Amino acid sequence: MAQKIKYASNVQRAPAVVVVLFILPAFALFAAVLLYPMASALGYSLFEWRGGANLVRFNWFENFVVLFTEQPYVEQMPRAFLHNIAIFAGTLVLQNSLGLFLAVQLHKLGRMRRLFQVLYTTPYLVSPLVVGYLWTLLLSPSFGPVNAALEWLGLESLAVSWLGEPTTALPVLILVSVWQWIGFPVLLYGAALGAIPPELSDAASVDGADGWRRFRHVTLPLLTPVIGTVSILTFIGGMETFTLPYAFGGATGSPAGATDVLSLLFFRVSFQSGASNALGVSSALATLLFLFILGGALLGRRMIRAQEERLS
Amino acid sequence: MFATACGGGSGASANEARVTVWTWSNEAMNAFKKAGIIEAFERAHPGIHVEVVAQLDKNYETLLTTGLAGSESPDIVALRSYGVLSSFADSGSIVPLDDVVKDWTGFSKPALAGAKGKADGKLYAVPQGIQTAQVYYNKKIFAELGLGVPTSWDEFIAAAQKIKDSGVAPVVIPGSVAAQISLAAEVFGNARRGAGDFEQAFIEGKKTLADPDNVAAVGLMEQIKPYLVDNVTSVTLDEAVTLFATGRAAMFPSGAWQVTTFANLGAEIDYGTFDMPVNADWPAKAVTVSYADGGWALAKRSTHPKEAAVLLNWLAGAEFANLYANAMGTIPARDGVTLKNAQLAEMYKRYQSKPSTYLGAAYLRYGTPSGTDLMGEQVQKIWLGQTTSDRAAKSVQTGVDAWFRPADFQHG
Amino acid sequence: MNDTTLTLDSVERAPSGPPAAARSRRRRRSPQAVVITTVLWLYAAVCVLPLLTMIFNSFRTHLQIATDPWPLPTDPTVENYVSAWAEASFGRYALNSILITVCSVAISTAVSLPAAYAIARWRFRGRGALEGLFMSGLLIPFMLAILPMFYLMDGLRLIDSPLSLILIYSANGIPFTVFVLVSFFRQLPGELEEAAFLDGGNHFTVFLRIMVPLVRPAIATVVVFRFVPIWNDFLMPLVMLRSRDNYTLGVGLTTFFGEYQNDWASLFAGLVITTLPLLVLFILATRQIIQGLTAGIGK
Repeated sequence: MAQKIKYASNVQRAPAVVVVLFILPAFALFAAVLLYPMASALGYSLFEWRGGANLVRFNWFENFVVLFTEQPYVEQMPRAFLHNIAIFAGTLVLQNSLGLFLAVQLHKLGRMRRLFQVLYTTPYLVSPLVVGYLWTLLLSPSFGPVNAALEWLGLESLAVSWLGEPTTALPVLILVSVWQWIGFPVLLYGAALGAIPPELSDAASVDGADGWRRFRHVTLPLLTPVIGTVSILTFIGGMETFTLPYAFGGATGSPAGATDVLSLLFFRVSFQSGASNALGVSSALATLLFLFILGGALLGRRMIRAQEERLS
Repeated sequence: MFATACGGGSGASANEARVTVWTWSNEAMNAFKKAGIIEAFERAHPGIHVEVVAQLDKNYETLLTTGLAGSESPDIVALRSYGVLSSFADSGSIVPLDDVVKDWTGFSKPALAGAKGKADGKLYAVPQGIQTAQVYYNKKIFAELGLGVPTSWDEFIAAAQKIKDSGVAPVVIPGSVAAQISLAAEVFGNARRGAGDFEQAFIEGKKTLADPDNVAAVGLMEQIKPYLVDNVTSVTLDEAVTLFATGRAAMFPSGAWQVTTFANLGAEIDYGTFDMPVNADWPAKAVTVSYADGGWALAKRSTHPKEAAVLLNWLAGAEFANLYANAMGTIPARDGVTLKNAQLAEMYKRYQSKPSTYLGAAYLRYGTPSGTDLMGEQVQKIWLGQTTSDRAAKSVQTGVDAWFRPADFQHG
Repeated sequence: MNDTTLTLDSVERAPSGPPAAARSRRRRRSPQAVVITTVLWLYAAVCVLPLLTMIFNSFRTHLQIATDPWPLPTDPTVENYVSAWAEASFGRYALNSILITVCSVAISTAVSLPAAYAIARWRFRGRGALEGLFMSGLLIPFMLAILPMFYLMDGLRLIDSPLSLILIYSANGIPFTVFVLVSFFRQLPGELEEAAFLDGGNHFTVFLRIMVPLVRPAIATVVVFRFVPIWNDFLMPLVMLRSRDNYTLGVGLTTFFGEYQNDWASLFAGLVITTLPLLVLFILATRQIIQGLTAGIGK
């Protein structure tokens, strides 16, 4: 295959001064305004605090120990973590199936393609908090149009209490999240598909490959880098999700903690509680989350690179 | 001379100062602006300008953490009573008011209890108001079914059964919101638990939430399960209000603030209120569940502490209390107030004769996990058939055991 | 210069227009195609109907919204728009939002472009580490950084200044922008630069005249995907700003969230007002994005 993902031949050299001039503005702004506050925030986790930001003493890793030995963390942290993983997995599967399907089908269209792409991306334009409240209204069993429509269609059995049942609340959360973000993978996959030279798939058809095989053996390998990018961003989004669960289930992850996620736990510990060392413990929690996402993202990148090598 | 002072202090002339007040409540900001409260103060205190800013309720504590920590700090901030207030007192970002405010005598004891720092027992806020919680009932539905206000728990259940048979949901609770569930559970269970006697024993460490009386109180939430609106665990606060206001639910245990909410909604509704009645063999008589509902605190970094103190003293007086309680529709924290709204006046009267503290708000919100969050979650589990009242009550106790020490509350 | 322009054209021409494979496949409508078209329209309805609900609701009263699930307004009112515009001073907030969002996106794109180019095309020491560092910026839980960021801005005496927000949003945009642009720059053929150097260009002119125009679509992508969250944000403005005069549209919307009651009617009207500019921007930008995303990826 000619279209290998190989960039080494492109890479050139430039004088050090030029490199610095190119990189410095971005790096300086990034380091000063983002990296430095972030590093100090992670540093907060190594101290004991009293009521808000009143420093008491350096206490090594005590805050982390608390997370793994004391209530409510020992009980609520694993639960929230599993929900984050479920959200990530659900979103990943849907974006890479529904999103890819839509992108592939749109790719076959002519001038209608752009209209659909715009329509599929509109939910992204509305702020996630509002999306949450909007869907709460739409899905309300008492006053919402969704259940009213289901009943009108004679599907009463499907008109359930979407956000009131632990079994449906989390799946609904995942679906709404996908609903809001699907435009991103659709656009990216669409772009990647557009970049595949027609000769390649034509050649495959001449060889007698049917649609699916052509997709599986020609298209999919070429999409691997983009799928990887989307998956890593989905992972980060799934682990950090806050606004939508908050709009749906409040700070406690209603019903009965079924939509509780790590950032809600962080919110409860840090800002809502009257707990004395709230800053230390919540920073420790955020640090753990950060390290986990970092590890996951790096691992993901390595897996994708390996996959690229194998396929190319 | 006539130039208006600009905020932040640097540009203000010697005689002009602007005092900035933060609150979490858009309703409170509107009360200040539209009910003539700011006007009344500024008329009596020339040279001091007041600006009230409502910050987003849902992120209020986040915004205070930063707002009180740097320059451009507000001068006076509204703080939620008990745990949140105490935590900001701990951090040193607000200052004790014991000597700043000259006259505390008008305030009721429960109101002051919510304004104290847990660590030092000092007063850190001028109480804003009291929130009472009671049962709202639809008078029309009650009249049509020939029902009167129930006088015992058994009568209440019988009435609920009759309402249910008529095709109306007897009780609505905002079952998707932990804090609202916890409040409703308190309306039902406070007297069953033993009201003030239990509270005393609880903070003396003699009784816990695993006590049989508290288990029985939580059990009331299990008993009313058949009488709740459908899909109760999905009902938001807005929905609960609408269900009650449109006559689709006959009773609604909730706070005094609903009087204003119902009026704003624009729906015609004829309602009354009552405190949850008790059975003869319960450990306490019927009570009005109540808690301190916020207070005004002085920011340490205030650039106009003198003027802010003048305002705080005025906020502690009867003139303001009258204006504010009537504009906001809240139960006053101090004496000398006449409520014009008949519904609120009735609640106020009941409250004065037999108040009982909302245990969750007053003692169980000083740490993580918050007792009211736990209670909300556990009651949801009861309704979803995932737990029993016995296990629920014990689970809340186990949760707060992480930080709750009865001894902390001995000095107040 | 001739050589260069020629190459440029050929690169741009390739992706424009529907690919040959697509064209050849649309001969006649098979039953399968009909099913698929139906599915595409159905999903479009799923995307748009909830948002239409929002628009319809903005013409109804609070009580109607609360009690009647069918959103078609029987007795439409523009009262909500009047109150949203006045209550939340949307006129003034809109100006602030435009200033802050445009500046932030412009700055983060401007500084990220050369950095991404350097990382993608040049070999130098610490390149991998630098890329990793920028990437770690994507993983930062924003809530955690609020307090230290406030201290930083307070130290710079920027509290209550729109500049604080511009700095934060620009910096916060750098990881994503670099992440996307690097992959685009990487995929451009190397011969372009070589030809330009032969024509006597230097690093700066090659970058500005040849390479940047080629990633226009990527730039459009970044602009849209950075623009939306900044435009909609309300938490950072509340943390950093003090005077109402400096507030943004996102903050204006929070006026309708009460402690005990939300003003849905005005909120929906406010939402329509704040989202329309985004929609226009997006429709304008998709042309760029789609044509040109095509040019970038996979090559």
